[in-house]
Order: sequence, then C-alpha cells, then structure tokens
Amino acid sequence: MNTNTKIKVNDWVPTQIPTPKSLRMSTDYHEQHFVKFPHVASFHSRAELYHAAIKESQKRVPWFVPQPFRFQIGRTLYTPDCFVQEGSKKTIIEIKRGGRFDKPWREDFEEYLRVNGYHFQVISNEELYEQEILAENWLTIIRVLVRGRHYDTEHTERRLIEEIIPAEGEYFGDLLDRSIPANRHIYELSIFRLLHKGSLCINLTERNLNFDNWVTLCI
Amino acid sequence: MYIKWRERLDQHPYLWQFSNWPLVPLNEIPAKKRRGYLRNQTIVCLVLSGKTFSTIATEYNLSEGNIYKIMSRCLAGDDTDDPPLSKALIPHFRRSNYNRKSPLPNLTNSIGAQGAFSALLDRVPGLRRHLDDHILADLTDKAWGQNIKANSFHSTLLAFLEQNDWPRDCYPYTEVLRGYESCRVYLKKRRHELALGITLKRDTSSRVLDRVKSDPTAFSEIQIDHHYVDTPSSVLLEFEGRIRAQRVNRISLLVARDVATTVNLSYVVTLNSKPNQYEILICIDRIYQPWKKIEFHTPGFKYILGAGYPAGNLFCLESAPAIGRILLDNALENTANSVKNHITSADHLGATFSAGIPKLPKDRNWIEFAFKILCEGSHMFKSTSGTGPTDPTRESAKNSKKPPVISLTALEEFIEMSLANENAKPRATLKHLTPLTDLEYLLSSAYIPRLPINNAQALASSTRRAKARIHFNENDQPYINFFYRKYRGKSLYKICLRQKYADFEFDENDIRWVTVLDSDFKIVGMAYAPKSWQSHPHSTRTRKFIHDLRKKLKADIKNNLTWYFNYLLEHKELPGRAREIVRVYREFTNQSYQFTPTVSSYHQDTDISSDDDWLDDSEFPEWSSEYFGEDDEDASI
Repeated sequence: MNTNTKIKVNDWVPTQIPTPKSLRMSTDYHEQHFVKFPHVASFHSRAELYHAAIKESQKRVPWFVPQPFRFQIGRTLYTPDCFVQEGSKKTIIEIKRGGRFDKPWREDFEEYLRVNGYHFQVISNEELYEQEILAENWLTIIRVLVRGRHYDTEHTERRLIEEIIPAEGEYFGDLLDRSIPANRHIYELSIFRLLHKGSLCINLTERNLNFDNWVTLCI
Repeated sequence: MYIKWRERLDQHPYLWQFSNWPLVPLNEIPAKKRRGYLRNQTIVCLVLSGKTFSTIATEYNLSEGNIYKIMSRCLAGDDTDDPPLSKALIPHFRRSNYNRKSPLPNLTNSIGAQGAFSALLDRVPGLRRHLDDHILADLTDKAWGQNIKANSFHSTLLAFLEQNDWPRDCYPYTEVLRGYESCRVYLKKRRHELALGITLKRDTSSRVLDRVKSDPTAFSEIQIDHHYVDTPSSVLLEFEGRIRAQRVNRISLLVARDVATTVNLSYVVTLNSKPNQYEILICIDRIYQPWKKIEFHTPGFKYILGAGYPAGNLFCLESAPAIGRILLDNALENTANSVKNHITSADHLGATFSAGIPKLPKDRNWIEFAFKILCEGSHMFKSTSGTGPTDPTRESAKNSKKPPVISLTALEEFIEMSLANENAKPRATLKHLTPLTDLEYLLSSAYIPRLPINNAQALASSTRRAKARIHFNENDQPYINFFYRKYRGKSLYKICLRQKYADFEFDENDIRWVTVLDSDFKIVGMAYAPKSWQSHPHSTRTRKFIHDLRKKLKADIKNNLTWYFNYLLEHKELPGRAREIVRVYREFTNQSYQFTPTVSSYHQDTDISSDDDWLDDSEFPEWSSEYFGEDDEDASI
C-alpha cells in the first residue's frame, strides 16, 4: 500500500459528470431517462445501462447517480460508474469486465471512501449480463414511465388495486383495455407505476414482458 | 539418462495400449509418406500385442533390426523428455534438429550447404538477434521497422555480415540461390513463431459487444445508418436557352430498419455527401409519418404486391408503437445534441440512445445488410462507382466522360422501389414471412408499448424547438441569434421583459422566420431573419453553406440566396455543384425531397430574380426595419 497517494474529490454531492466527447466516441455509449435519476443518464457500456435498470427495479434503492464523482488520485482523474443509496448505506460502484479492477491505488481509495462513510464495490459485466432479461424488461417499463410522467393515473391505480385485480392475480394482457388506445396507455402506465412502487408483482426474470405475464398484488 | 524402448514401456505401462498413443491425422501427413506411416503403425501394434520380432519381420519382409529401430525411434530417448511416439512413425521424421558439425562451404572447399544457414546463425555473433529484431519491428508495427519481404530480409542479412567482416569466399556468398531460399524459409517460419508469441502475450480480452440473449421484439431496436448510393446520376439543366445533361455526384441515403422484423421503416435521400443532424431527425420522424405510394415515371419500375412502409398501413398515430432503443454509429452528426435529445426526450421518443463502439459496424448488422441488398441493385447501372477502385463493375473511363444515362429522378425512384419491395419479400429468417407481415403479426399479438398521442403528434410534425438568449441592440430592440443571423419581431417585445431566454419553434426546411413561444409554450408571434434572407425558403444547411462561402470569398451581397444560386450556376460543370443546384432548387421552390424538377420547371430556376416582389403581402408582413433590420447583420455570439 502506497501511503503517499493523495486522493481528493471536489464535491461529495453526487452529480453526474458530463462524458467528454472523446469518451463518447470510443465507448459503447448509451443515454436514457430514468425515474430514480430524473435526467438523461450517460453510460459507457451496456452493462452499466443494465445495472441502472436493475437498481430501478429494487424497491430499497430510492435513487442513484451514474458517473457521480470525479476523484483526483495522485495524478490521475477517476470517475466511478455509479453511486447508489440503499437506506443509509452509500455505495460507489465500478463495473468492469470479469470484475477486474487492479489499480495500484485501490486499497488507498477504499480506505479514503471508508473514512468518508462510503462503500466501494466492483461488479463484473458478466454478473449483470446474467440478469439481462430482467434489465431489458425494466428498461421497457422505465421508458413507458418516463414518457407518461405528465399523466395522472391515481384514480386508475386505486381501481386496479381495489376492484380490477383479483386476489389470485390476472394476466397482464387482460388488464389492458386494448380496444381504445388512450385507455390502454393509461392502464399500462398505472400498472407499471404500481410495479415500480412495489404494489404489484410480475415475474420479469425469465422471459420478455408479454400479455401472458401473470400480475399479482404484493402484500 | 538415455533409456531404451522397453524401459520406456516399463516406466509408462499405459503405452502398451496403442489406443493411448496420440493420433497423427492422416491429412497432415504428406501423401507419399502415408503408406509407410500405416505400415509402421501396424508393426508397432503387432509388437505391443506380443508378437515376436521374427514373425513380424518375416511377414513384412524386414530384418529384426529394422523393427527394433522403429520401436526405438518411437520410444527410446532421454527419460526426462517426452517420446515422439506416433510422430516417429512418419518415414524420415527428424527427431532432433540437425546441427552441422563440418565447416561452412567456401570457394576452395565446396562440401554442400546442408544445415549451413542454421550454422551461420549460430556462428556469427548477434546475427540471430539482429534478424529477430527486424521481424519483431515489423510485427509490432514499430515506426522504424519495415514491411519485410524475403528480398529485403536477405539484404539485411548480407549487410550485417558485411559489417561484421564475414569472409567473402564463404557461405552464403558462395551459394547465392540456396542462401536466399534458406533466408526466405527462415523468415516465414520465424515470423510465424514470433507472431504467435506476441498474440499469447497480448491481453486477449478484445472489445467485443456482448450479444443480447433476449429476443428483441418489433420496435425494441431500430438501427439507423447512412451510405453513399454507388451510382452517379444526371440531371437536365436549361441554361441560356440550351438544355444539357449534367453529371451529378453520388447521393447518400439514410435508412432506419427494425431489428426483429428487418422492416425498412423509413429513409431519407440526401443530396450531399452525408446527412446532417436534421436529416437524421427527419428519418426518425418519418417512421411515424403516413406513407403514400409514389407514381413512378421510369418505365419498368413498380411496387410488388404488399410493398410499402409500416407507417399509415400497419398503425396510425393513436396506436403508434414506441421505439425501445435506437442504434447509430458514432459519427458527429449522430451524436449531435439535437439527435440525442430527440431520442431520449420524454416528450418525443423517450427511447435509449446507443452509439456503438468505433469500427464495429457488425453490431448493427441488419442495417448494413439493407445497404448490401441495395448495392446489389445499384451496381447494375453502368455508371456505378462500384465498391472501390478495383471493382470490375466500376464505370469505365470511356463512359465516365459523359453524363450517366440514369437520371437523378430515376435513381430516387429506384431507391424508393427497392426499399419498399424489400419489405414485401419473404425471408428465411422470418420463417418465410415477409417483414411487413411479421411486423403486422407482432403488432397485434405481442406486447409492444405504444406512444402517448401527444408524443406521436410531436413526431409527426416537422417543427423543431430551440432556445436562445434574448439580446438588445443599441436602440434597445430585442433580437435572438439563430443560425448566424439576428431574428427580430414584435413577439420578442412581449416576452423580453419577463424572461431572458426565448423558446421558439422552427421548420428546418424554411428558417426565414421562427415562431416564438412563451414560458408555457404558447405561441406569442413570429421573429424574422434579415431582409436579405427572405426571398426564398431555405434550410439550415443552405444558410450554413452561404455563411461559410461569404466568409471565404469576403463577398458583399444584397440577396444571399439568389447570389448563392447564381454562384452555383457559374460552376455548374462540377458534379458536386450540379447536385447542390438540384438541392437548392428544390428548397427554393418548396418541393418534396423525392423528386427532381422537370425540364420545364428548370426554366423557372434561371428566372429566380433578386427582387423581393414575390412575397405575398397577405401572408407575409410588409417590410420594416423593426422586422428585418436595416441591413444584413451577422449574429453576434
């Protein structure tokens, strides 16, 4: 461990660091709006995009920030991939192929974060690709939520919970009113909002979201 | 310690079973030696099965010593080394490298050059290393290295020998041809060995995009790309009463394609070398704009049964499917903020923007495949530029002196027909359904999120929205800067006291005026470009061209647009300029993208006058300095 490594960060408030043009041009670059990060989020690989989608699906994560800090470690600048808040636990996440993050300053950096109340975690791309179907399904859901953010669905949500969805559950396709496009959109949005809040459950880990997915109430 | 073949078998009893010996594939053995190899193999099998040497020798007409020799070649040797086993069954197989012991041949003692090159490498100090350094410099692409061929490698060898005072009467000077051949063989072998070493050392984790395991459904992934259409065309221009054909440079084509169903969703023909950001936006918006059949003027061109595009045929705006992810390459125009905002904005597509890794077009294989199919058609024309300078189908020098027979209109019709017909041809990958049928089935049976109606309507309209800071001139008149010019109007007075920035809408094909919006995005009024830009509708691209050209020529101009058109006419002989004339003409006459003007309409373009009487007073305000300014003022940024 090199005790001489100087580490500093400009601001401890996690704010998305803009991606420089050179990096945008040389990586597998993605951009998308999210709900728990209500801006356009930038990702430098598909694994990072999937990670954000999976965090969006976890009820215990209230918010996250991609590319959150810019650390100066010795003479190098380092931007981690994500910051996630889970309850009182604050984690800074790096996503790497094979989970390899062999930097000479890693121990110093982890110690620095620990002192400041943060955890450091390295996640492998492969681990995220294993959950690809879940992530893709959640990306679909997030896009619907983002596009429909101006719509008020409180009434429909209440009706779905109290009247429409039986205790044993219902097919997703049967809950949508497919005859009228405007109605279909409101129902779709309401179901996904309830799913995002954790009031409804659908198994999204095994196959793509479709009309024959079974929707149940989460109690 | 040297051990005999029997001792080896005692040490490794599993070798008594010939099935445990490694197999040498027969196709790796030279045809002439296969017979001998199979005979030796049978003999070894018989020995291992317990038959006596004398019986085998009699059967194969050999001496017992011969059989002993075969067994020794396979199994005997140093106990710490691995025995060659089956490899030694190949006739004339050399178990150890040949080391020349006799001196190298010279003029007085010509004793043959067997193994002389290896001996030379061993006996001249530093020679082997020097040659290896040269090969490594080539393999690792060192700046000081050279692209080594046998000839230059041989010269390197001779130069080194000369520097080290190697006697002139000795090998390789005495055996010029054999020395050269040995040098060539060594280069080939050593280059392979060193390349293998480099590959093994290098980190093999190359940047490969991981494949998506989940099957994409319709509209979940759209690929967009642009290519040149490899066929120059021609237009007829009427100038000073004479009609003449003019060669037009290659045009480029922008296509959007669905990954799951391989449907061509929309396209834009660009009369330029590459599209700009607004043309990419047009291509995206056309996915949702209803398509109508075009009446072809070229004989033989027709739609096949079921040909077309999905918008308007398979869905309407109320039930427009939402796009999940748009994959583009990382060209500058694709990564423009306007494109990214349009794709990710919640008020428009609300999709994922993906710009892939550079130099990996195969990640967007379906759009590349679409261009491949189109190329097969466009390469049929005699005027094709082919895929490169060596393409045998490339236009001949004789034909290239004349304008091509195919007109620009016919080429555009060909593109329309090819892409529409492609959507109605059955594909093996879609279980022999046509792409449009497959899409229709998926739209009715699979879950595909739909766009909210407001978003769909925003996409179907051709207006764009932007924001600019409100500035004030020395007379305290408000103005905004937009595309190198100052825009003024009464509407700006209404909002300048309340807000610092003005939101406005504009049509990128006609930027003579913009519609100013208030903070609630309600229309307040218009703001107009200076008078010298009001004579004809023009796009952002034309404005930029004229601005750059004026700057370059330092020209003082009253009416920018007619000046530009006249400038193009003066240089109409250049193929690139002819293409620009057509583009500008279409813009000025507000024609659609699809068609080239007819001969009669070209007559009008020469009549484009520099006066401003064309403006209809009923639809355009009377000129005043309040609207247009006193002169053509550049935007100050």
